[in-house]
Amino acid sequence: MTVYLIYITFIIFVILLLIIGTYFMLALNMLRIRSKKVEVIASEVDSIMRKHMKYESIEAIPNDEIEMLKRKVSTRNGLQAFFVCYKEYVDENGYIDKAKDYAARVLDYKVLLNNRIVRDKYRKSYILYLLGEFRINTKDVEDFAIESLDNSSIYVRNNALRVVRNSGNVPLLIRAIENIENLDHYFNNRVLVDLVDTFIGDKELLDEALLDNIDRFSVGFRKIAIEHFTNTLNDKDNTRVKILNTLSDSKEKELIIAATKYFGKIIDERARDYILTNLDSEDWEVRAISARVIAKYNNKDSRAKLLESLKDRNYFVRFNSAFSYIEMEEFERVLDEVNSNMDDPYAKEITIYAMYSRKMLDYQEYKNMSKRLELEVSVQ
Amino acid sequence: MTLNYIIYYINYFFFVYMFLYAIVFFLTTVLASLNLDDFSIRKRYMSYTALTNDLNYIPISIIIPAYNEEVTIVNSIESILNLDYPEYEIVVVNDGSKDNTANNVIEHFNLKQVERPIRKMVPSKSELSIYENDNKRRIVLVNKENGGKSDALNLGINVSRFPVFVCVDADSMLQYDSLKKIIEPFLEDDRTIAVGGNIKVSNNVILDKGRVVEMKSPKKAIVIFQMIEYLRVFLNSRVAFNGLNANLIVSGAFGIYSKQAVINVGGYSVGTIGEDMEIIVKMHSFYRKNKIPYRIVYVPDAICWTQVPESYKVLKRQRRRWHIGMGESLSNHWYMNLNPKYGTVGLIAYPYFLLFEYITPILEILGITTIIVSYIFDIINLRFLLLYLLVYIGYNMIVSMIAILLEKFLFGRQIPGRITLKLLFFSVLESFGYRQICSIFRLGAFNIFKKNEWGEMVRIKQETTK
Repeated sequence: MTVYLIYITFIIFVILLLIIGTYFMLALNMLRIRSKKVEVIASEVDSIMRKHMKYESIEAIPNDEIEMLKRKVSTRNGLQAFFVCYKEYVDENGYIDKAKDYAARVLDYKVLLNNRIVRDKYRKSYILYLLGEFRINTKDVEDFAIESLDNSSIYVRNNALRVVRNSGNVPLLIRAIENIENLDHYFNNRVLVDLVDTFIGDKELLDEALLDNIDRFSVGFRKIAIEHFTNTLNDKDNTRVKILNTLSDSKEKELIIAATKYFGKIIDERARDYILTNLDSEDWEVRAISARVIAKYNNKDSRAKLLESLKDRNYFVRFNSAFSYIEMEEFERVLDEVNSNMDDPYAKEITIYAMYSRKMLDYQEYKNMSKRLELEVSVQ
Repeated sequence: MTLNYIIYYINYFFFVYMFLYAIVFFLTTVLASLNLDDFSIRKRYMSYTALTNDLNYIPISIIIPAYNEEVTIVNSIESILNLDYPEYEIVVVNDGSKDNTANNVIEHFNLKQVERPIRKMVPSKSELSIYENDNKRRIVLVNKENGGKSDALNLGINVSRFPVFVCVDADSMLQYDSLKKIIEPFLEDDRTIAVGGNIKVSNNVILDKGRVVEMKSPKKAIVIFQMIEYLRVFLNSRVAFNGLNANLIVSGAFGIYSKQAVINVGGYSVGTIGEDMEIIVKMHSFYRKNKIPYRIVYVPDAICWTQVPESYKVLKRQRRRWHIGMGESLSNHWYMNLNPKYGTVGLIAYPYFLLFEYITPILEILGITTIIVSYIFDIINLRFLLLYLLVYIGYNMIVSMIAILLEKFLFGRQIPGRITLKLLFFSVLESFGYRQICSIFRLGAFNIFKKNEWGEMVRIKQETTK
């Protein structure tokens, strides 16, 4: 009996596994057949599309031609083919408004919503992906994107962000930020900075809107906004003032660090005193970043402060201080400090290393100075 | 008569074990197939979590521990220099090689000796000398006394500058897009602490700047058998356990880790042979014990190409070493076994590795020997023998075939049809000799008198178009 049971179970397993294998083979072949069909339709659609794009305006394209194209792209393969052609066109010409208007005239949000290209589990995400790529931004689409930010799938949320980014609609982006602030879902900080950095639309308008709203944002989004201004090197005075206020008033470590990094890229003398004050911060990360950025603000006070922070208890603060100090000070003066005035061996060690690293000392000089320092320490 | 009964029941035990083994592989195959089908659709129809602005990518330190790797090290670094990723540094840790590993790197990449303070975040032997280049893409070579792979990796962590690090074997070559793929889980979930990539056999592949230019049909049976084994592991059990957040191994050949997470567990355990398994099991243990949410992920399309042994002598050393490593990790973390505190790791992954990976070679060799001897001496009948062989051979064959088909399904364009057919054919032959040989090699792990050291392998220069 046991043997028969094992036989039967084994046969069932084998059959099931064979079904799995067959499924993958069939799926592979179906994919091949489908991509061939898509290729054939795409060659037709491509010539139609290129002809249409030669019209002076999208409105000038005759209605019957658009209707014919609409019928072609209403199928699963047709939509895929249109997407392939559209992507190729955009890759060649960029996200120009004409392409966007064309997609909006040919495609309907409802057509996309009803497509069966992908299984239900991923349909929403793929629809959002297509809407983002075609840059369709009707009211329905915008609402759909905002509502999708509250989806449990990260792929749906990321593609909803793509729709927002590609819409070119600044108020929509601000609305998306406000929504994200109230949601519990995870949004990666770098993905959000990237969303703002690569916004397809009026960037000046976007920056103004971010500045107008920044005080309403949470710490997380204020940091994202500052990182965006740093990445895009926004040096407008109102931006500087806003970030200066953050640097002077904020108690949040993340914001102070982001603001300090900003003033490492955008030099503004008004930031100097705050950066110097932050060299005494209780948080080592704030001290470390301040020690690095102060190199861009060379004067007597900065150099004097760095001589103090060279003795910091934290390695990274000492490391950054040493590199900033030798960048600001003349070689002879640094050498003099090391040989005569520095009494802290750690400060001395890191300064000698920084000098060697920046090729102010050759390898032998560096070895000699390090050895001397070792001797001094052992004598003490 | 009594002896016959005893032998009969021993055979029965082996039979039941093989049957359970088949059930487990059936379940992992089904789970893996569902996951991979889902994965392929997600990749095909959805943009992956890619960033548009290069400034927003997480900078990565790539650590290459090297011991006597003069043949492959330059090629390996060259392949890494061609990766499509905005910011990364390469840290080669030369673990007291007796050959020209260090000189080859210094000369080829024009490195200069430097000195810099190193912050010891995890325990390691001290560096003997450090070399760096002046280019934007930083290459660092650290020479140290021989201390084993774990020690080399720990020094690499101490020398590295970025918050996440990739560990790559010196004989491996990364596919051009592998970093962008393997970093994705870090962008998708901030609980991610480690991600493993897919390791593929490169002996028959010609690569150019991290891209496959030609895939030749493998000629040596030993290479083909290993290709099948790699597919079975990387497209079956790894994928299945990934769904349970219970993968106990991120391959040492290619994995990415959060530096802080590795520091949290004290770095790699020096002196262990299977450092790749040990670090992951330590992480599972630490994060579960402290109830900190975490994810250890496997990404099938983050690809690393590696050379596999072409001689049975080298294969023997490699398999023995892998098996010792697995045994060490399992014994170091015995407390996790069937312990509900460790969730899926304690209740599923640990017992699986113990029963269906670690002790399998003993039972497999004993089982097949006893059953054949029993048949010769008429203790069991032909039906029992055939049934055993059916489960033992037939099942393994089908699982292998599905892994090959999955590979074709996922990476169809890369693999010529003739190679797939060859692999399918050899999956039938695998159970007649190769599988038993590997089990015997793995049995060597139970020989406590043999010395354990870095796995020396005969390297062959990877074919590239240059």
